[in-house]
Amino acid sequence: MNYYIININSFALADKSKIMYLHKSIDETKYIVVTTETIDGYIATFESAAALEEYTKEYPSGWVGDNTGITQDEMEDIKYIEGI
Amino acid sequence: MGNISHINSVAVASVSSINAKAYADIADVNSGTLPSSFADSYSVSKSITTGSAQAIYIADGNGFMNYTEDSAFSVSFWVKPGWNSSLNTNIHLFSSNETGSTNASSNMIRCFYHESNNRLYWEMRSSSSSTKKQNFWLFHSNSGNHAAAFAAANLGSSNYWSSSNRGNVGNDNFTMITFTKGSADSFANTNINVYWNATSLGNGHYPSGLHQGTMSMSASTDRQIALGSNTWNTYTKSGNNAETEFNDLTVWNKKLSASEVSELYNSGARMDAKTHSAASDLEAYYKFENDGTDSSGNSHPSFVINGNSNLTSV
Repeated sequence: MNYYIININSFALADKSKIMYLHKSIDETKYIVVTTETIDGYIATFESAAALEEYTKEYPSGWVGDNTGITQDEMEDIKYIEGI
Repeated sequence: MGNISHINSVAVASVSSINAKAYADIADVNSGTLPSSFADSYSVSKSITTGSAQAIYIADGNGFMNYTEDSAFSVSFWVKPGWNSSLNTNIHLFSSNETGSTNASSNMIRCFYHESNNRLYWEMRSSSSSTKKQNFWLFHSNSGNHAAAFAAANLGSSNYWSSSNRGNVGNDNFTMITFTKGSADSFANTNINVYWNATSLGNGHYPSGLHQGTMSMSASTDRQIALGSNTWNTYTKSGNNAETEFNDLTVWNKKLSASEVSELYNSGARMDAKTHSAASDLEAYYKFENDGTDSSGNSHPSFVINGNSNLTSV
């Protein structure tokens, strides 16, 4: 599994069928993506879900409005479904 | 004679008068008792502030909420959203898991609104995130199996559920959310239903439910319970600083029928659930009038209401 922060353009090019989890920033300019695809044009990449969780807890502003970050549990639980 | 739930096949909640006599002015019919509303003065509120000292919770259910994947049960509560439209995360409305456990997956039952995707989830887990059952209802798509939820909630196609867009509401801007589950080990649409103000949200997104692993929830392990937050992670995922209000939590030892949910909704006026036609299956009843005590008669533990969580005038 691969863990990225990407921009809108990179998301447009991403293979949606390989995305397991998607979380848009509050201003919808950046996307956290968990995917089986390898994406080159990323803003940031993380080694694991734990590392990504830690990042969002350290820098929740812009991602979530309650300052809690995004948990691994949420990444596993909220399935990305293309089109909805 | 017991309580009257229907008159000529019409749920009493939908009856406004009988022979020109206003329903509110009728005390009983041939010694049967009509379901009654009550003076609902208080609700309970939960803010973003975390920790047990700031939560609405029961630290040990003492045998209450020990449902398993094979249990038929229902949970209903009223909620008045205080969160804003840019919260962009999970908001827990109801949760329970193993007493004292920080493992979200340990005998867990929860209802949460995922504000990022405008989805209302109900979920049960056994022991890990890979042993679970789940389904969700989507509110902004007026097509396919989402159309019923779109119509029931009436949130619109672009604005999600929040304090500025509460959709269809009952009295005092509260919405009654009701989950009903049959005894099958399944979150398929044939076994579960979710209602918004007694109107069915229709089929969940997954026709057969989202199932992972083999569930084996304990029927004897005690549970901790919370309103407005999770129970396993310092009572977080609560919304934001604008407090969300909750009222009239009821838990039932059966899968309530659509007509029984309609009776409980009582046309938007919170009723005395002890007068409900299914009251013999009422397991727990929290009115949050003067405190967090259980009014079911089953002597369940009281909700602790601490810190920034308060009893609030309706």
